[in-house]
Amino acid sequence: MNRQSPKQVLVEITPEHGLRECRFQTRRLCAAMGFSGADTDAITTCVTELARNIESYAGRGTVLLEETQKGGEACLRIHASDDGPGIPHLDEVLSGKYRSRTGLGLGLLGVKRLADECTVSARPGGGTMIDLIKYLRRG
Amino acid sequence: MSVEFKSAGIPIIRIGDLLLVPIQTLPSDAQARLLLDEVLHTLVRTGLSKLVLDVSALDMIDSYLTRIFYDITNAARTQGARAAIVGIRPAVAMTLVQMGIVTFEVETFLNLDDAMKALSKAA
Repeated sequence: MNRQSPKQVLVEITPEHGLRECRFQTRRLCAAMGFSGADTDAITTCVTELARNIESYAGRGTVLLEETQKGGEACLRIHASDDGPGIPHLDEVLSGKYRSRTGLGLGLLGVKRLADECTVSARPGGGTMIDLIKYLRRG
Repeated sequence: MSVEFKSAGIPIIRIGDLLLVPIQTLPSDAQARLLLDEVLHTLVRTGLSKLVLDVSALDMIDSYLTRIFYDITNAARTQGARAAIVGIRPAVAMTLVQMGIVTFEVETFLNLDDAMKALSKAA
């Protein structure tokens, strides 16, 4: 784990490490920013889902947690990135039409529902990037 | 009562005719898969007919764990045991509902007492 600044934490995910670190850093940053307990639980679940997806499907990747602002509103940005096989049936997954037996669809759809904004994109050269925004003051 | 710690590092506790598995920390992918295997084999080896997963120590349950819990309880029922999940915290329940994750028709109870009473009744 590297710390660029107190407002930004980068957690590296490997097959055996990263899940607990992600959870710990997310709760720490949420508490520092003043998120409610319910929001903190939702955000921690989102981060765990993303880290778990990286661990299970890509093996390695990173999760970046960043305290930032968007449109003048304080928010937490979560950026998950890996160079794994990518997500098949992505449109169906995000629209709720696709339910895989492995649970991937449920998790990503759940993340989309918990976050205020969710962008999933294919990384050039393979892999997945997921960008989440959770605003501090919104419900 | 007897307690076994196997390779998953999660205790498997025998109380009377019931097998209790308290999940105390978020298991990794590998741990979760080991647990599934160990619980199913322990049921067969001991001949116990009731399984309870206690998740009251977990402050967060993601979709992967939901699936593992479903797999364990569903496979246990397929083997002929009765299985239940107890102790889902209010915040965890709320988050699971918000995410649209249902508990896959697994029997759930507020606490271990309720589960033991319900599982002791005739099916």
